[in-house]
Amino acid sequence: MRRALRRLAALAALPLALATAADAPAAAADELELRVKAAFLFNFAKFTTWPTAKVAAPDAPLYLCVQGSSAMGGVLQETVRGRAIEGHAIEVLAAMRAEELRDCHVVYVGAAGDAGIAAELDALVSHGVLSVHEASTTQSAGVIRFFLSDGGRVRFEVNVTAASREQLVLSAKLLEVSQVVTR
Amino acid sequence: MAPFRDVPIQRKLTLLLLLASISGVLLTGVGLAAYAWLTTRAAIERDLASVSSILASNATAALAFRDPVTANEILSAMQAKPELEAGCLYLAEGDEPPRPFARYSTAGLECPALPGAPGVSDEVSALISVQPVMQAGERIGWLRLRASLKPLERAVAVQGGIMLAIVGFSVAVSIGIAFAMQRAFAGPILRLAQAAREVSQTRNYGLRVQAYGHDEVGGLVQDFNAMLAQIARADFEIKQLNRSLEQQVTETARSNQDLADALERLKEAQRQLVQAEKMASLGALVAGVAHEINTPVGVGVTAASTLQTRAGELRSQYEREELRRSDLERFVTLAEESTQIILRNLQRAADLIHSFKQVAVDQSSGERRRFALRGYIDEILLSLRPQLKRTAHAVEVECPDDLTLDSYPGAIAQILTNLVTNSLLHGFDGVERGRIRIAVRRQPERVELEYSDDGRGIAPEHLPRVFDPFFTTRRGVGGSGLGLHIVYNLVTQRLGGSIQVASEPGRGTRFTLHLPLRAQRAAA
Repeated sequence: MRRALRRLAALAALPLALATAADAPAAAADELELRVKAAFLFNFAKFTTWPTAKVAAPDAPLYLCVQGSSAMGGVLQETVRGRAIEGHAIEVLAAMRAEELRDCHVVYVGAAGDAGIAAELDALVSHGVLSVHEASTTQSAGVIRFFLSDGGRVRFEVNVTAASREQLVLSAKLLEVSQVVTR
Repeated sequence: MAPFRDVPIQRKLTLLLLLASISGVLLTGVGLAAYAWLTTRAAIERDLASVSSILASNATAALAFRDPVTANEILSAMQAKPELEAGCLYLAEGDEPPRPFARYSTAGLECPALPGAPGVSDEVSALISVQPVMQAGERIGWLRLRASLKPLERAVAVQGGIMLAIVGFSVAVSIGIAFAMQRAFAGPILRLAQAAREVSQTRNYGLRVQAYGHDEVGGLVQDFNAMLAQIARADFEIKQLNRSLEQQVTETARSNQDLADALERLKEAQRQLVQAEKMASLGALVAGVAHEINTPVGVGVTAASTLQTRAGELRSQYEREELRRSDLERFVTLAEESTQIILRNLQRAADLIHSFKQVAVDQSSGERRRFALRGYIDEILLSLRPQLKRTAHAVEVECPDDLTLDSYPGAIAQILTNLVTNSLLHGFDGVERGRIRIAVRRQPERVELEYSDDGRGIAPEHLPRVFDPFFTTRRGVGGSGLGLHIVYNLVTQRLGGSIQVASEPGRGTRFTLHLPLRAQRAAA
């Protein structure tokens, strides 16, 4: 884990540097979207209660893991810096193996292509992981799926069936601001 | 403006009622308004706090997931409370500066760029509540609510208006009551004052004020009337007293005059008594003289008649020529003896008459002359012999032979006569053989005459009064009570001397006289 963290730190600077160098307005929009999503990832953790088996102690850290998106890793790292959730420190991990991901509390699956995403998500099923993804289809095992609204705003849908399958208790307030689906 | 104490009672009463009613209404109104204001404001504040808490709690997800639509929906729940005018939700995650996120407003109020300090604060006609929006122990934004106090202010204003109306009404009522009560309060007092003025001007204490009630003023009226009655009574008494005083003064003057007249009569009587006393002692003197002269004259008559008888016998013997030589010799012897006896007794009678005459002349004429005291005392005692001779009392005289006085012998004669008479009458009452002693000693410019007896003395309680006129313990038994008074007057006034008396009951009495050798000429 510690090793992975260090790796992530190295990665983090890269997309930011790339983004500034690229086409400015497009890069700025992407950057904003990335930041919003990173904030949302952190906030999902706030509105979620994991089964006791998943949280060892009241002060055990919560692991926010990023899979397949080095850019998100850096931004998320930046977003959660110095913050905590009710006594739980937040740790952001990236570029990990599938077995390691099962120990994470939140996993952002940023891989491209719906097939790849679905595979990643399937691997996390029944491990108490709040999985977040951006697949274009709603047909997946993920708990939360990002999408863009008509106004270009970042919104998300919550698959409550998947959430209960993973024994996650999601706040009603979260459901209030999300699109709720069951499958 | 006049000081309050000079304001008429009527106006004071009006003012009092006004002040009482106005202050009562004002205090009540202000108290109620303050209470309503405070409680209503507290209720609004409580409402604000609870609504703020609920909204902040509800808005967490909307803030966290940047959902302004939901946030606005949540804020619009505020319309259930019309006094909540505006609500502003600010997004402030982590170190980000707050920025407005959602807004609710009933009157087009804009949200300020920053929420402001947390807590409840006052604004014009509004309460502002700023509270952090917390999620999982982390502040993610701010909620700023604004509650209007305008309804409260309106309510208080209405209350104030009502209160002012009540004040106005109560002022009117108070003035009405004051005018109505004025008659009840001021009327009797004014009548009383009017009566008091009238009484003090006219001094008509018979005046009475009518009391219309039994309150304090009524009591005052009654007291006033009672006071008037007392004054009238006192006035009457004073006048009566004055009259009786005048009468008493007149009577006193009259009785004073009576007293003066009585005193004059008394003095006259005293003078007459003194004169009578003088005459009485003169009478006694005459009696004594007659008695005293009777003896030598009787002896002389006897001797003369014996001589006459013997001379007749001698003539008849001679005519019968029986006269013998021896008869003639015996007759001559008898004649010699008889003429001797007759001459001696006539001489004695002449002496007696001379001395009596001297004493009597002195006593009745009050003449002043030079005389030898010793001889004069003897002459006085001689005149007292008739009284002394009947008793076994003895008189001793001790006096220098060559002592002469230029004074009033009559006064001294009467003094000694009175003293001796006193001793015989009082001092030796019941005493068989008394002793009287007259001792005269020469002193510079005066003589000291000490007259003492060894009789019964004078009781101490009588001693200070013995010289008082008419003081006697023997009234009705012959004592006039003037003897020693006359002695005192003669010694002090006629002779210009002094007299002291000392006495001890059972041991006798002693009078000590100091007489000047030359009596003052002015003394009368």
